[in-house]
Amino acid sequence: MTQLIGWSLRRDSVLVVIGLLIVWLLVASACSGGDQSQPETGTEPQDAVIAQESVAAEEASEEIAAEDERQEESAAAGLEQAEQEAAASEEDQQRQVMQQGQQEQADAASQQQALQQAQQQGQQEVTEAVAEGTRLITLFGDLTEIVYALGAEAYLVARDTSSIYPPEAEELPNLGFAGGLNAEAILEFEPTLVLGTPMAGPPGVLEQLEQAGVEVLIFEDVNTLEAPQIKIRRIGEVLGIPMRAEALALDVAKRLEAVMAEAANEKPLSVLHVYTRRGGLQLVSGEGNRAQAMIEAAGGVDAAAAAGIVGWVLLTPEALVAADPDVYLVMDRGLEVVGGVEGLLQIPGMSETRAGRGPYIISMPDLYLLGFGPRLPEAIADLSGYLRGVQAEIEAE
Amino acid sequence: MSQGPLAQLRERRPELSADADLPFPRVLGPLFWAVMSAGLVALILLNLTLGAFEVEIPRIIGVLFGQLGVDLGIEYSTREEAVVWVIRVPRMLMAALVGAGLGISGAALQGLFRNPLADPGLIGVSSGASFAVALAIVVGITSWGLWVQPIAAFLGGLVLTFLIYGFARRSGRAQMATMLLVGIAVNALLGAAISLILSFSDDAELRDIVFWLLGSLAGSLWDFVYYAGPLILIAVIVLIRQAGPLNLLTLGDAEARHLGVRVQRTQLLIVTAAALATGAGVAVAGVVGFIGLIAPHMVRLAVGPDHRRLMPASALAGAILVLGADLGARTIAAPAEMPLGVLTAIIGTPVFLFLIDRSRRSLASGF
Repeated sequence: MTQLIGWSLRRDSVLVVIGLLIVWLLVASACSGGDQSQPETGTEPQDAVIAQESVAAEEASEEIAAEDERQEESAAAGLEQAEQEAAASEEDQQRQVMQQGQQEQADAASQQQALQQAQQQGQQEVTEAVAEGTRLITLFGDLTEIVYALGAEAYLVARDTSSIYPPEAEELPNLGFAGGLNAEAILEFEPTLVLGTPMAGPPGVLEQLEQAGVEVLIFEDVNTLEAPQIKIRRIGEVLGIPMRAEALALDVAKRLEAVMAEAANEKPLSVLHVYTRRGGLQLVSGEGNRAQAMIEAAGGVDAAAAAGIVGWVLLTPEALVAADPDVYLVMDRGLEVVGGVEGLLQIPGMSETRAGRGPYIISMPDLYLLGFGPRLPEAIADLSGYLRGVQAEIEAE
Repeated sequence: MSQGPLAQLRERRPELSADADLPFPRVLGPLFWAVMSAGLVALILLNLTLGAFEVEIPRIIGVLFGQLGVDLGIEYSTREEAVVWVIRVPRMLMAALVGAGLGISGAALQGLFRNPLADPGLIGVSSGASFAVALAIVVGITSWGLWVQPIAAFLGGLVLTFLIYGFARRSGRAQMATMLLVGIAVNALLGAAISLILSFSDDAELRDIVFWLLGSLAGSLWDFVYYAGPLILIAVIVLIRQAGPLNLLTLGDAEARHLGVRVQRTQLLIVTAAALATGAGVAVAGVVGFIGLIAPHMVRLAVGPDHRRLMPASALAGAILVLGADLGARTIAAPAEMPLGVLTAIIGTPVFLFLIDRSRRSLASGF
C-alpha cells in the first residue's frame, strides 16, 4: 500500500525503456529497410510515365522544329499576343452565345473548332501547358473528370474514392473517402496542388497540408447548370491552361444549349428525386438542389419543389402523396442499397403515387446524374430521353 | 492518508487491501508498471516512425532535434520535416493525451458511481458534444473556421454534464445513483436528437457528422495540442489527487462523510475533471468509444481496485490503447484513413473479453 507509483516507475522502466529503444531502432530500421523497396516500386511507374511524357514532348517539339523552323520563330514571338486576343474574343463570344441567337453560336463553334484544331496541331505545347512538376490530387469525381477532359490527367497522382470516371481514373491510387483524409498519405504522393469540394476534410488535415506547403483549393458547391463551366474555368486557371479550359467550357455550354432546346417539353412530367441510402433514411430532394436543376433542364418538373419542399426532407408517405410525381428519379447506388425496384416500392408510400403504380423509375449513376461535370449535357439528354420514354408509355396506357 | 480510515476500509472491504487475491500474482505489480510505461514509450516511438510517408529514422531524429534548436547535421527535406513535425508529433501527443484523459475519467467515474459499466459518456460529455457538433454542421456555422467544431463540442459536452449534475442535485445533494439514471435518460434523448439531425442532413453533412461520431485524430494540429493538452493534463492531475477520497467513497457516501471526506465537493470535482478531460478529448478527436470503459478494467486486474494505483494505471492504459488504435487508423488502410472509434472497438473488445475470461472473480468485485 505504501509503495509509490513514481518509485517503481522509475526503478523498473528506465532499463526496459532503454532496451525497448534499442529494439525499436532495430525493428523500425528493419521495417524501413523493407519498406525502402516499396517506394521504389511505387514511384517507378510514375517516373516512367514522366519520362515517357518528356520523351514524347521532346519528340513533338523536334517534329515541330523540323517541320517549320522559320515559322516557329515568328510564331513564338506572336503567340502570346495571339493568345491574349483569342482569349478576349472567346470571352466575348461566349457571352454572346449565352445571351443571343444561334448564328453567333455557330460562329463561336467554328471559331472554337479552329481553336481546337490549332491546339491539336501541337501549338498548345508552346502557348500554354501545365507547369512542369505539377502533381495534382483531385478529391471529388467531378473535379477528376474535368482534369481528364482538359487533358491534364498525366499530372494526376491520386484521387478520392468518388473519382470513378473516366474508368482510367480508377487506376490512380485511391485516398479513400474525401471527408476522412490522411494528410501523411497525401504527402506521400508529393502533390503540389490539391483540388477538393467542401466535403474534403477533416478540416485539420487540409490545414496540415497547407502547413506542409501544398496548395489546397476548395470549390464551393454550385447547384446550377453553370457549375461545370465555373469549375472548368477555375481549374484551367490554376493549372495554367486557361485557353484549353475556355474551349472546353464553351463546348459544354454549346452542348448544354442544344440539349436543353431539344429537351423542352410542352407537357412536362413531374419528377421526384428520391435519395435512398442505407439505414432506412430516405430523403426527398426539393427546391434549390442539383436534382431540381437537372429535372427542369431535361424538360420535367421537380415534383417536390412544386409541392413547396425546400432542400432535403425526410421521405414520408405524406410528403410523397403531396408531391404525387409521375416518375421517380433515383441513383444507381441508392437503388442498389434499398434492394432494387422491389425494395424501393416497399418503402411506405412509394407505391401509392402515380410513379409507384406504373412503376416508373429512372435510375442513373450518381456521379453522372449529380456530379455536374463536363458530362452534364449528356446526362440531361439521357434523362430527357428516359422521360420521353416514360411519357410514351403513359400515353400508350 | 491517516491509518484510521484505511484500517476501517480494509476491515470492511478486504478485497481493497494489498493482500487481496488478485487474478494476476501480486509480484507482477512493479513489473506491470515497467511494462506499461515501456509500452507507452514504444508506441510513441512507433507512432513517430511508421506512417504512409516514409521517413528514415535518422532523419526523424534530425527533425525532432532540429525543432528543438539542435542541429545534428542530418539533412532532411522540408516535406519530411512537415510530415514529422506538423503531422506525426501533434497527432501522437493528441492520441496519448486523449487516451489518458478517457482512461482516467473512466476509472474515476466507475469508482464514483460504484458501477463497472460507467464510462465518460455516461455523464453526458460525449452526447452533448456530438449533439452540438451535429447541430453546428447542419446549421452550417462550421464554415466559419477550424475552431467552431472543437469549441461546439467542448461547450456542448460541459453544458450537458452540468445540466445532468444540476438535475440530479435538485433533491438537495447529488445522489450518484440519480445522476446515473438522469445521464442514461438524457443520453437516450440526445441520441434521438442526433438521429433527427442526421435525417435532415444532406449527404455531405451526414458523412461529416458520422465521421466525427466515429472519432479521428487525422486533423490533429499543434493548436489542438496547445489548447486541449493543458486542460487534459490539469484534469488528470485533479483526478489523481482525488484518488484517496474516492477510495473512501466506495464505502458509501455516509461512511465517507464520517471519515472526513467532503462528499459533495469530491463528487463535483470528479465530475468536472472527468468532463474536462473527456470534453477536451472529444473536441479534437470526436467520439472515441470504449477506452473509458475498458482501460480501467484492463488495469484493475493487475493493480487492484485502489484508486491511487488504478487511476494512473488507467491513464497509461488509455494512452496506450489510443496510440495503438491510431497507429492502426493511420497505417492499415493507407493511403486511406480508418475511423479511430472503429479500431478502438476492434482492439478493445477482444482484450476486454480475454480479461473477463482470465479473471477468476467477477470484474465487478472491485466495487
